[in-house]
Amino acid sequence: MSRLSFALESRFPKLPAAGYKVESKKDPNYNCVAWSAKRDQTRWWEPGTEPGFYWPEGIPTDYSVETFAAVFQELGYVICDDGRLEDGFEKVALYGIEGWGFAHVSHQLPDGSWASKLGPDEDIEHGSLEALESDDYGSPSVFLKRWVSRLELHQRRYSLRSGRYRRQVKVRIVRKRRRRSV
Amino acid sequence: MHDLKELRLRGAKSPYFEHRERVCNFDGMYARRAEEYTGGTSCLGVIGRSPRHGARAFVLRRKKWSIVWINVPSRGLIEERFHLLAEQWRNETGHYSILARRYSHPAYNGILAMGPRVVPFILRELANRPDRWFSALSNLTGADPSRGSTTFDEAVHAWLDWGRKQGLL
Repeated sequence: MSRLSFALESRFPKLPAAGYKVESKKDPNYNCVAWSAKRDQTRWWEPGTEPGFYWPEGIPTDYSVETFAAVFQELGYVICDDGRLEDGFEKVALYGIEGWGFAHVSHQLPDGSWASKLGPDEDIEHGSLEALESDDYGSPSVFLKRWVSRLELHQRRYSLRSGRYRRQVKVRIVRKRRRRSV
Repeated sequence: MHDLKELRLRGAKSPYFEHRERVCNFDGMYARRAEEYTGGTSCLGVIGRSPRHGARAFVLRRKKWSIVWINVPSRGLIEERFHLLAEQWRNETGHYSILARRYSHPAYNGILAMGPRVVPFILRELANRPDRWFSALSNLTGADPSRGSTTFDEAVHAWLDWGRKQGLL
């Protein structure tokens, strides 16, 4: 799981140079909205009646960026200016395309990098939002942030199936053991 | 009989009666299409179905027998075209986060325009490389076995079971 397929990578010209890490296998059960909004891996968040679809009640059913921003506002996010790392806040960036509307959403990780679920394909971690700028995803047009308690942040880190934090924890444990043995 | 002889003289490879058995084994699609092309006159039979060029049909037109070329794509050609479009659709939209956007892609609409003949290929594709084909299958078949499914995997199983029951898989 080190790289995306060549076909997929070629859809994002800036991604290889910006660097990324694949964090999961393909899974058509959930999309980026589900992943960024609630780390939901069981439902596909989109207006519609297809199997596995979910859409919060009371939210309009069009595909504008504003509508998808409303989904996050319903979850306690507020609109902010940019995607800079702010202590105690988790941010999401909504990508939009002219003539269509909402295209993608990424969420910020505690270290300032970003996580994205590429439609039904893999989850990736990428260093910058520009990495996913492309004809298919457009560019980040709306930013939202939400205050996250330290406890929630901690729980989230360890509930993530991402191997990254588990590896970090393992390294810490190994270091502690070494110190003790010395 | 005179007209059949005339056909032979014009360069038709074989007279109709020699192909009678083969003609009967062909499905009715070519014959129906031949009738449509020739303005509703009766089609006696179809011969020489070729994988790339459709078929030739004997039709009765203005009280005379004639051979018409029917530009009906064969099963092989339909399958080839379906796989080309499906691959294009997958490559160009597979990473889209919104399905409505995937469904508006020209390759997807091209597959829908091919009609119910592509249903067996879609079902095979669904079995080999599961993807969001449910809407296309519902549109093409009028059935909806995935109604009530709560997950993607359940919907895939429901459609594959339906395909097996219908003898399409």
